[in-house]
Amino acid sequence: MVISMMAVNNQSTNFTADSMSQRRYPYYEGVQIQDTQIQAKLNITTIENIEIKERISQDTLDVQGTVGKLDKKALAEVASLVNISELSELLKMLTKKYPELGYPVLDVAHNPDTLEPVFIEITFPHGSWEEWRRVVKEVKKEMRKAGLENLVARVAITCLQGLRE
Amino acid sequence: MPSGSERVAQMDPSDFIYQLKKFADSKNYNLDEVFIRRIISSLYFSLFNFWANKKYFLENKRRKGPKQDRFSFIEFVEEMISNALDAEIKLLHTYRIASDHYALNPTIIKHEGRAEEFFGIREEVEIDEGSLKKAIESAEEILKVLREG
Repeated sequence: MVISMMAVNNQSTNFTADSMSQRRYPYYEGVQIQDTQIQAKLNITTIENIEIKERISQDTLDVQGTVGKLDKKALAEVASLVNISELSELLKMLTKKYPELGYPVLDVAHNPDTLEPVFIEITFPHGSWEEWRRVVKEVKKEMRKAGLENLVARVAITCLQGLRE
Repeated sequence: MPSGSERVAQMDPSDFIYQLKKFADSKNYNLDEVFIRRIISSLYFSLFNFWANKKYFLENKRRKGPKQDRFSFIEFVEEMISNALDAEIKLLHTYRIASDHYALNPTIIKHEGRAEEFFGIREEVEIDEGSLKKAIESAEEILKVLREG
């Protein structure tokens, strides 16, 4: 299975850390999660392409979105929490069905005591308080119907506008 | 010593939340920042304590501390997310942090170990009448789910 995460982040990004300024882009990271080998082509702000080698499938998916902390650890954390192809489908559905929310950014929330990853946060720039509440209810209801219980529990949807207004 | 279910009932914040809302309504939400901060914080913790007691007594969950009764915020948040209360818990959790830990208003919340700064995600919050209204709405919604569960 190949998942392409397209470069969609229009926000200006300042990478000042030494490791980042010295790194040549794109670069590649790989992790092994049980039976799944994940290879990612990483560009400066986005994961351009993730190749997931499973025993069976070789599908291709295009996903809009960016992932925070672009390193091996982030990849492993995302993959340890959710099925990446299900997450990709969810991102695709969200951006298609709710284009008014803008492009999402992904991040991983950790337990501050154990530092273990707990859930993935999908953050949209737009969406009022009422819209945010409605979208979450609609999406999670659909996810449940589709049997994606794990994804419901492991993915939080945030609309920054709704949080700020 | 009350039984487990009696203890859970004692910690049910329904009346507390109702009284807080009544108070805020009576003032037309025109309250100073100290009141708003304390109300948001107590809303959050009244729900958290209720949830933790339910976990301990009704689900026999054990966590940290000498009595294994110290539950984590992140577990609480995670469970609310699984109940499709993403917006309500995120709002209450974020404003609770702003109310208890940050001096400035408005301010920007930074979650430990998160990468927001790389992507321009700034959780800017302002503790005011509007956030109080949303916090009360959120608390009511979360309470409904906790009481049903």
